[in-house]
Amino acid sequence: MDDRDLNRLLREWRAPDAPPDLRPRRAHPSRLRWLITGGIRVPVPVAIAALLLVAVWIGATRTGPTSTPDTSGPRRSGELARYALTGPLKGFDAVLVGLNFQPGVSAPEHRHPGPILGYVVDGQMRTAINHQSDEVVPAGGTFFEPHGALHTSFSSANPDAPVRAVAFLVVPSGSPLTERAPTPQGTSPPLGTPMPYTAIHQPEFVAASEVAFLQDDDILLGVTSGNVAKAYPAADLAQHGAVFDKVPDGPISVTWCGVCNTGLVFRADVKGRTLHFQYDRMVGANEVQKDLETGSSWQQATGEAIDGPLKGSRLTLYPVVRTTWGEWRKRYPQTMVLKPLPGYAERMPNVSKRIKAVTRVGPEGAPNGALALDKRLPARETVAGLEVGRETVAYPFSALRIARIVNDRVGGLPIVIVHQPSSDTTTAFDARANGKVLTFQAANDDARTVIDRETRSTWSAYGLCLDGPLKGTQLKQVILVPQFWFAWSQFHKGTRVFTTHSQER
Amino acid sequence: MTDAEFQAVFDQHKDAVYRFAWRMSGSAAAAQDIAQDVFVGLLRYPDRFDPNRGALRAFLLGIARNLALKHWRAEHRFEPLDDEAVVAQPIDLDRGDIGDMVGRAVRALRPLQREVVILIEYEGLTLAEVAQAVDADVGTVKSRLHRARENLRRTLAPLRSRQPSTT
Repeated sequence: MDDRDLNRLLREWRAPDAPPDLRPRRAHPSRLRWLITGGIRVPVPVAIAALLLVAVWIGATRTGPTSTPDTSGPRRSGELARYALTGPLKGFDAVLVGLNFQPGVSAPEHRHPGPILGYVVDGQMRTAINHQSDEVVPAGGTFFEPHGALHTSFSSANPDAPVRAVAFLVVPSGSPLTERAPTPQGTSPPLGTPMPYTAIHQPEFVAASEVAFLQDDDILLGVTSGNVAKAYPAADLAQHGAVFDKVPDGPISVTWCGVCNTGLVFRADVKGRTLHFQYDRMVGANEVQKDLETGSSWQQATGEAIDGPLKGSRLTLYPVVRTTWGEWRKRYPQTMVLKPLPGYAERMPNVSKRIKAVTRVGPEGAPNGALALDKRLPARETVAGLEVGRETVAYPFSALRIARIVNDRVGGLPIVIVHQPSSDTTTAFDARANGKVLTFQAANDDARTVIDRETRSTWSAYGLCLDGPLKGTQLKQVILVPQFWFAWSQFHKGTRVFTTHSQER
Repeated sequence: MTDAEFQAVFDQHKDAVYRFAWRMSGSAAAAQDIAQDVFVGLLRYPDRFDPNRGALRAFLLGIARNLALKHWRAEHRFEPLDDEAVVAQPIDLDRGDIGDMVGRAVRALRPLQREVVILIEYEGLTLAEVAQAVDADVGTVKSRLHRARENLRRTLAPLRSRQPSTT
């Protein structure tokens, strides 16, 4: 297609003009400016008080009966309005800010480039300046920080409830509202600061008993090696792309691509070299990560080097279970959990919410950059992909939630897949034990245990025989790759798709 | 800026700003919000427009562009805003008329490529004006436009035989 053809086609797409009801909202700025600088000269403190009244009024109306305050999720803190002042305060902005702190979240030490006067709308605010003792301000109370004060404590005083406040500031025109105080390493930047998307190469872990940053239904990748069990929360992985770690049987790279909803673990060594990965770019709406040692680029969904000195090499998948924190903790109470870094931890609840939502029901359509569209399934349906020999199969979560157990043969190998619908945990095993091919059925609704038809032994969903003639036998795990359908299908052309109908046959 | 001056600016540029926002966001509601905010911004900070730096229309479209990207980021939190992808999202070429299909193809471009195509092909800005609006240099704009057109050529290739008559 030449330029002329393309230009002709482009002209076919017409956009509507602005609708007649589009009107500039003129009233607000002029009315507020008048309060400060209209014909009557108002002393500055009175002007500030007047604006504060407006602030309080806005805060009060926002909690009115027309909208029930939602305290279940974190609300955004941020600027509600900013107006340039004139007259004696020319060169300054009047700013109204909404402050919403979830319990357990506190602001790092900071200063503001002007005085701040606040009003607590809901909850109780714990606040302190210049390392003085904390003051608790109840709903309806006010707090004041003089210009330049170091704000050393700022959080909800109630461990179970958030706090909401509005604050009014006068700051130099166009200036940011917060100046971060030089802080010791380990404290968080202010909420709203964009955090860099960089891999973690020296991870720290905490014991399960110390984990306060996960909900039972939060999704994670679980890895076991020897006596070690480690959990990598998806909401943390999704903010870094890759985590380098060492487990008893070698270095691994725990990876996540948020666009594909793919969590994969690879052995982090190739041809005797240990590799550290870092996000590089997107190809086919999937992350490509570069290794720092050779500069080769690796497609996350396939583990294949697509350029660089190691082009054509493939990383070895490492066994992993995608499950929930509640399920993993129950199974491995002694598990270690990747400790989120300051600044990332605060974002985990929101990220986690989204990962859970898209896993349950995928958004419509493929993301920009997807290479091809196989229409047998919705683009962002989550599937568990399986590759054995030359055969590949996609098991849609929607079908697995119904089937729970799939007895299949892939690449000539008898396979059993167990899906626990309550936690969307999928495990897969070579279905042979003692030289016999076994077929399984669920022993209960959630497939927490399964029974083989041949020996009537009872097995856990993790392939361990709990009772019966084969008691103590462990089935060999087969690695599943959960991800969105568009990602699986574009890298595994001609893949078979499991349906509950095909199971019945 | 007096009321009359503002009204004149609004009347003259509202359609261009709205059309751009509509093409970028794919949503009439989002386009209306973006257009409103562009003019509210002009009202609040009229001094930010410097006639020595370029035309008012490019300035307003630059504000609209920043707001459209903010809107995009809110909906694509996990997608990096890169402009390097040379592959285009496949589109369903059996649905809608040619205009719809072209619209879907343009909207399937990465945002930084899409905005350049819209500003140049539909709003008729010069390369220099686009560079001002998207806060990039002219070379970057040229290369984004080139990649965008390559992507569109590939995506729309099946339509070549179905092009409307030009007579």
